[in-house]
Amino acid sequence: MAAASMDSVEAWDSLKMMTLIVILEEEFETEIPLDEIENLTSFGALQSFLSGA
Amino acid sequence: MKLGEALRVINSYEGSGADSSNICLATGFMPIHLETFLKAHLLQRSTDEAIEISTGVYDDLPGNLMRAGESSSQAIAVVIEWPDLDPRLGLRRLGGWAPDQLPDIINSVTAQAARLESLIAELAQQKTVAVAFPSLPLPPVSFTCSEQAGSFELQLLQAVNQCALSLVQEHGCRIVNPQQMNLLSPLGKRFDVKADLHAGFPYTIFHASIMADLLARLIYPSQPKKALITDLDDTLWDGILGEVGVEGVSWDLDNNSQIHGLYQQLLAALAKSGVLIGVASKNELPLVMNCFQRDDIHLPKENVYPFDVNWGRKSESIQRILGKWNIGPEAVVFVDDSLMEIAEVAESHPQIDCQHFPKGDDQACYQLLLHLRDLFGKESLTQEDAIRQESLLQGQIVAEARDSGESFDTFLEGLGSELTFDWSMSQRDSRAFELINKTNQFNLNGRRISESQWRVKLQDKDGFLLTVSYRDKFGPLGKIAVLSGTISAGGLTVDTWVMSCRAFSRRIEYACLKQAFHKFDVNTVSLDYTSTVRNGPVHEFLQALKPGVRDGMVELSQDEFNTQCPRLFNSKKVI
Repeated sequence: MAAASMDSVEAWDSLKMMTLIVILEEEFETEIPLDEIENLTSFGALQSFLSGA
Repeated sequence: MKLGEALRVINSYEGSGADSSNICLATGFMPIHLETFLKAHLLQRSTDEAIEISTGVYDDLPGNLMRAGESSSQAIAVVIEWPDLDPRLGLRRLGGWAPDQLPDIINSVTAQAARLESLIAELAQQKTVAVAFPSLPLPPVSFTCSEQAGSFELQLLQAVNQCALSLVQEHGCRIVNPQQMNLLSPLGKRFDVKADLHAGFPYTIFHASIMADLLARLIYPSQPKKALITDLDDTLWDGILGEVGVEGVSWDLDNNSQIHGLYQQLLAALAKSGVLIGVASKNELPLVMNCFQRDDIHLPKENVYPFDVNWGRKSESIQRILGKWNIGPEAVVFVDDSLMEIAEVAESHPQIDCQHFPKGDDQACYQLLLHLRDLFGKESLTQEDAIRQESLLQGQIVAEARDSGESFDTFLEGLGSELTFDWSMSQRDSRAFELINKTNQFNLNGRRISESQWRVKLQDKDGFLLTVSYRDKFGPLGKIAVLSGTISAGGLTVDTWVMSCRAFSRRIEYACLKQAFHKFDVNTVSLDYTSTVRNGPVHEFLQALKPGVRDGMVELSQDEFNTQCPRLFNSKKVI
């Protein structure tokens, strides 16, 4: 899970990314800016962002 | 519903091994989260089926509709937004918003609406179709300020509404009610500009969930309730009849009790729509009947049967009423202003839908009226709805004659009964479909059938459908029985057979089988019988014809039938 990224997980495409972003926004009650989304392409990047959010 | 919750619902059904229903979702925009919510809401409404949603191509709603028609889907959800009618009414194309373009936009919208209407109408001939018309606010196209409805916006709405009306009236489509949409999803909370511009999905998550929920309710509508039992004091009227007398109770504006008059009006309308209305009240019966003699009452006593008025427990009154109606408690709503009475009834009859009449709170009472309308709401009314209560009373007369000890044959002979046997397989006849899915007691095997399964059945070239109507000297009962199955070299197989309980005790079941033997000139009829908790009348009937009957295929020869069939007195008409 920790190593998961858009490159390593075949099913993780741009449409799934949109769903993932919405789920994270719902679960963490936060809004993820559009210009940040393109950088959040791995589990690690998402974890870092949400830790700082 | 949040998106995470929708995904959890979907995941809880995945791989259940159940048969799958295929539903098409036709949009011009990217359906992304709408598809997820639709699947989740459909799964929640259809617990014994898996659901697969197929979508189409971006920005090609007409093409998606054509592809949906060619697919094997059982139902189609169509979502039309303004850019589907003219791209200039969306944000992803820069076609211009100048005043001199407005007439062209109106023409374009009108033409495209007509085109979509034609495509959707064709789909509706074969499949269940649910349509949502534009729900998003218009962009700042016209030169009129938002607070003013200009000619441009009104003409656009007129084109859209005309299309919707035609689809409802002429093609049997189900349209999402924009008033209900407005109540559940405020206009200002629907449009996600960011998502539209970056991903082609224009809805907020909130609005997508509401839209999906409403579409799912149209594709899998709830079964309407059949009957309502009402209290009287401080419910049907304001005041306690025993304390203030017949002229003391009220239901009008002058006495600040208009909401009770509105409740009476609703019950009268429901009665005319085929809902059985009964009274359970702790009162003196003569006083109650005097009150129903008042000229200004809005629920005529002819619309009410029965009146169970006494000082005993309400749950016992309800038990007696259910017996007279011969329907199950799950089909009944009970309304009372007393929470204590409601609790007492709910404990004895947990399947009855108990609704509190919030006397003194007009706003809450009005919400109750809306809710009651929804509990009994149906897509269309049939001839049987208009005569339901009368036919119930006729059934009582027949049952009393049967139990009176007089010659029942003499009674039946004097009825002057006529049966009409209709062998056509019309998809537009909703009554046959309704009977199969609502009948419990005379039901050959208790199986229910979905709309898509019904369509397949009607198109089976080896299939047959018999719908039976009945009338006698007391009047018509309408369509009261349905038989369906297949014909083969081996004979006739009946896989569906239901008969309304209002038609019992007239030997109509014998007449149906006799007609089936005669029509197909077969020596054997096979009946696909399964015993259920409620279909005892079928078991009794089959036992009389062939003792020792068990679950499974019951093979009945014409000789066996002729030996056991009693005298039949009905005349017949065959269509």
